[in-house]
Amino acid sequence: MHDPIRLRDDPAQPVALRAALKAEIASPIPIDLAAMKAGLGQQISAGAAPSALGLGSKVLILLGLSAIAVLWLRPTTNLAPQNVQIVAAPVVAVAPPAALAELPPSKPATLRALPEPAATVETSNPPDVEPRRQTTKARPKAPTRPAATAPNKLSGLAAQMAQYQSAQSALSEGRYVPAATHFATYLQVYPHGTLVDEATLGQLEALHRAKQPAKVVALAKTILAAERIPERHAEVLRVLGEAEVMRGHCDAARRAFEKAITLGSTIRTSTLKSALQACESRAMQ
Amino acid sequence: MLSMRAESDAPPDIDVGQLFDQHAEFLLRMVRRVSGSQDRAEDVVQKVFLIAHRKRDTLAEHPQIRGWLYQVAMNVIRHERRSLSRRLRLAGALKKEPKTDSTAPTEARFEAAEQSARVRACIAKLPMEQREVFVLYELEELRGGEIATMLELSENTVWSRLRLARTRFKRAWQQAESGAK
Repeated sequence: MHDPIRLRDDPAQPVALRAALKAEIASPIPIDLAAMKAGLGQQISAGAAPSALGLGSKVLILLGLSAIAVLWLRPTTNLAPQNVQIVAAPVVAVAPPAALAELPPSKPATLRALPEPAATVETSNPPDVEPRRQTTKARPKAPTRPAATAPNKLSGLAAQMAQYQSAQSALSEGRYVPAATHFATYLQVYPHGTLVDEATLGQLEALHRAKQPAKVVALAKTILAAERIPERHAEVLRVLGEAEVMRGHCDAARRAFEKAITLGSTIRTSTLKSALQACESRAMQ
Repeated sequence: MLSMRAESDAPPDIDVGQLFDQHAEFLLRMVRRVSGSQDRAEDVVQKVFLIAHRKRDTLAEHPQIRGWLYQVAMNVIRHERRSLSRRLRLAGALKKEPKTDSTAPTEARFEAAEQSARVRACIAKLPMEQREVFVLYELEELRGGEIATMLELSENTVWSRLRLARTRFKRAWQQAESGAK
């Protein structure tokens, strides 16, 4: 069978379709192949094994590890959100029997369920590991349970994940300002953490959605200047351009968008044009 | 220049550097078009060649090296699709587009980028099996027999998938056109 005529050469097809296919065929790859080859050579000579783990896999693994850590810690730290009251006397116990069994027999502390949220020790997990807020009147402290037995590393990962997830949850719930704060806290507490890149991008997104263009511009420029997360630079530039539009800095916006295009990303041109036109008309006024 | 060939005590194998020169560009284009992700293409292709380096002793005898590289790239893409990294994309309704010609004026680049973006958006609506065949035939301009060999399919299957892909692609194109007006 002969190969059928290709769509781009088929006169029966719409002109616009054929032109678009030709444009796509002609579009060059915005990647420096020589640099890529050099990087590959370095990885090979350094003995790098091909890792099939992307960022997502890393997050999944961390989620799993943190879940294990949480399960380990659960009898001791009781991470589940609930209002409890620490009392000295042994009253109706709702703590897991296994946990109670580990308490010192002489002075067993109990966790009494409260019907109302009054006078509580908040044990819902504050992700930034702040000290627990004690809003009760001064009460005798219950004896503390033995220290957590989970390895510190897992505890650290669990704390990182908790912090990151709280930020991500705020972001997905549309609470952009708290999300940005949580991401910033993560970056402050774990400057070399496992999810630093993700948190940085999350912070950028949160600030952008919170319509804080000045902060977006500052953060985006920091990311670009530090040459971090190079595979996301096109997107960072696009966000930078949008923030510059918000600030009315049309030339800076145009430069950012053009560079984003040069890096092979991510702009719907009709949106871009109208954004720049709106920016320029605002600047004219 | 850095040699990517194994040391002399290894069995006869393949020069990954040469392999890169021959196939990297094709793989980058394919990964961009099939996955719809510009940003990940470089990572995916780099992984492919690292895997090729690891398997270089057996790869030398492979009858269809390009097909093998392509299949590895598709496996890496599928793996990445399952991952959470997709959730970590930046916000914004703007869609990804390729660069076209950096020397052209901005307006012309916008237009060309818009056309390319529309093609890719339509390709993205095809099922993966049809997408592969469509891209290989319509954009990479491979012959039907070459595609059949690469994908380990019969030529009839290639034409059947291409026919279905074209129908869907044209329908998606018409929808995009009517939506743009």
